[in-house]
Amino acid sequence: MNKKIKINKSVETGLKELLISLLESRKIKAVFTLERNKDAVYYSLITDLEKVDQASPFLPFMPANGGKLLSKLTDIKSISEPIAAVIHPCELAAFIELIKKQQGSLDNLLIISSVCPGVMPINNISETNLDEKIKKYFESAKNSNIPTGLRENCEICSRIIPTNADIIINLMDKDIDNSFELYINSEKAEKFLGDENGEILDSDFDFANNTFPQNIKDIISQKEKNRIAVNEKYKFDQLGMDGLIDLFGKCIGCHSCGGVCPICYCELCDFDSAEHEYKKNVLKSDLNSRAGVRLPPNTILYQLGRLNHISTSCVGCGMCTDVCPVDIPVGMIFSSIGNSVQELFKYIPGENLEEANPITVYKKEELTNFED
Amino acid sequence: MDGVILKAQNNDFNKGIKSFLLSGLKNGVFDSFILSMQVPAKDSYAWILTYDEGLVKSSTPISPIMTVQGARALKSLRTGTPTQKIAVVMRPCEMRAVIELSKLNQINLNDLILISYDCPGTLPIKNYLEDPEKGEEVFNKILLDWDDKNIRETCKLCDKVSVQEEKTFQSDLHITTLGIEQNNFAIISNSEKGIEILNELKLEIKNLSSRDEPVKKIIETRRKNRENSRKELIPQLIGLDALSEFFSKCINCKVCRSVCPICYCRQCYFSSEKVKYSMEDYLLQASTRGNMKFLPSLLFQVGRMTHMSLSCVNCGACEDACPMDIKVGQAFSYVGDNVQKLFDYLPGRSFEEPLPLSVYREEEFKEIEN
Ligand code: SF4
Ligand code: SF4
Ligand code: SF4
Ligand code: SF4
Ligand code: SF4
Repeated sequence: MNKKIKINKSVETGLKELLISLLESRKIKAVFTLERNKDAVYYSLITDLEKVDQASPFLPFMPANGGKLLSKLTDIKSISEPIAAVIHPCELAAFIELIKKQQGSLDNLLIISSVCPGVMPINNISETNLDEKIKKYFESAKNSNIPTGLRENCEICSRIIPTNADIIINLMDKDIDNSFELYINSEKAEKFLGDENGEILDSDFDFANNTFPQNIKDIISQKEKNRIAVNEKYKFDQLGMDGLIDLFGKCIGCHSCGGVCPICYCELCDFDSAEHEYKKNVLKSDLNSRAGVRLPPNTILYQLGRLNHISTSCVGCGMCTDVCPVDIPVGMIFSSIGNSVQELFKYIPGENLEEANPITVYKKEELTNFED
Repeated sequence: MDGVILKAQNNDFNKGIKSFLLSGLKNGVFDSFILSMQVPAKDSYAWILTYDEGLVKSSTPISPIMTVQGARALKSLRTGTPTQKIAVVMRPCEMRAVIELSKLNQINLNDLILISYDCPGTLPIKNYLEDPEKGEEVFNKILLDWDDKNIRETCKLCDKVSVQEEKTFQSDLHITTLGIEQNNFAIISNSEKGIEILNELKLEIKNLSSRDEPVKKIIETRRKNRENSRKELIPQLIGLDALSEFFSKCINCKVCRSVCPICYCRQCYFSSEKVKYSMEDYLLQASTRGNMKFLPSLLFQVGRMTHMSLSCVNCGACEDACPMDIKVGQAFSYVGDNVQKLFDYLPGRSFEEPLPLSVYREEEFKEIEN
């Protein structure tokens, strides 16, 4: 039977108190979560109890993909003492994809995540009526509606359940202001939580195995519909070369989309390397065959290359759209194409740490075939 | 100043410039061009390298937005130019960045003919993208009346918009519209190469003193704008607390660096292994302060300043691209101005003026060797 802890507090207060008690009892050494300071929002590693109290773990913003940060932080060496991290499902999924690529480790990390209502575009943080908006956001979530004003990517994201988190909190629960439930989703979590944190109950739901409340099922199917609608409208996954050229016509080749993408982890992107520099003789022959060459060249090539490198792992977080200076819906394009590639391979990024990324499997098979 | 006067029917300067370029093609002074051109979807502009008459005709040498800073486009010719007389039409701030990059061995100027123009400023990319058609309309008006209401904040503060006696930027030829009679524009030589070209084209050189007043006036307005805006800006930048506050919204996406023409390092120090720390390192810091924000942004910003402020041409590309609307261009330009004053250096002022730091470095080496 799955377990849960019922806490008779509002979800934010309750979670913070739990984190503080874990810190006080030295079960964890620090908390990795969002902080907000006026119109600044950022991830922070907190050891101070008071500062945990001021943190904003459920603030609907993603200043950086937390999976990318955790990967950078655990890549050099894994953590030696437990740290709790509160992140969104797509951040966890990205982190797991990165770990598969030997870019980090889950050791000693207690991952807390929520059934995710989505996040807002990062530049909304400066809006004057932000607090009002955030209030409305939680109202919608509580009533099992998809909040308005989300990142486009969140509107079509149906992977809102953090199946691999140690602890799952359901934010789409109407009692959330008075009480909430913490679902214990791993053996690791059991070691951290006990009676002292609240009453331990049996749970009807098993998030990791696809049994969860009906209202969440409804939201997921609504979002799947949204995705299909977007796909029918833009046909991102059937664009072909001409369509891509049109869509990325505005692209200024700044590579910022790759820079913030959790899946693009290469320190020096292949497309920024010397090998990809436009060589004089190539330029000459291009110019002869086409009469006109765009400078800098290869903006489309970069996008194709990035699609090729990451589409099986794209978690649809929308970071890339948020930073694109020329407002290309990069995240929608990548997520739509990514989704159809993932369907093809029956692969869901971040779902299972043991399952190898199809691209690597595929490559190996190709090689063995070659050897035969 | 002297120069040649050319026709621009209906004050269509773009058309006039294109005829001039094509006549140069015919006369063999140019053999190809790098020009700004609308993308097929007509919602943005891109740089195009071409020798094709048709493409030149459909280009827009003076365009309403700065998408890729021109010097960044020229950098892609690092391994060599395909032809020998490429005419490049770009804004003064883009020229200045080109000159800086040539000093850093990132652009070879031998085969390029740099043509700058009187630049009234550009529209913020985001505003333009909202309604490109309206953007075109707004900008065409600005080209005639130089009203600065709708241009980027950084452009409002830019005083290096035209050539005058006191040299502020280098190019080979400069196209000027300020103070020139209706339906005309003029071309001034701004280098030895430029003089040769005008001679070769056998165009009549006339006195252009009618420009002096209007050019002076616009420069004065821009300088006043800058003075006024700095009064507000400076207190926001002085001191570590102020600076952290200034960059508080920064999400460290490094878009500002990616679009900067001067930051040319393939592998930026601030994205390298050297600034990568483990959770343990952070934990150590967090336990002494209570928390450790993942905002390496200040280190990045200040670091980037020390790397490039001497060459910052305040083109505003960074500010235009910043997703968090931080006045990063104005901050860099302020710091840049100060550093540049210190070294009595103006980036992009001339081909010859060496980068102070390279002189400094060489002298330092000499001392060591002695
Ligand atoms: S992409 Fe999905 S998981 Fe990520 S923040 Fe948006 S809704 Fe949540
Ligand atoms: S491509 Fe965009 S949406 Fe996909 S994982 Fe990367 S940043 Fe997120
Ligand atoms: S962020 Fe936008 S402009 Fe920059 S490379 Fe990506 S798609 Fe192109
Ligand atoms: S900063 Fe603005 S006004 Fe100055 S040259 Fe550049 S685009 Fe023109
Ligand atoms: S200043 Fe703006 S563009 Fe630069 S890193 Fe910060 S948020 Fe990104």
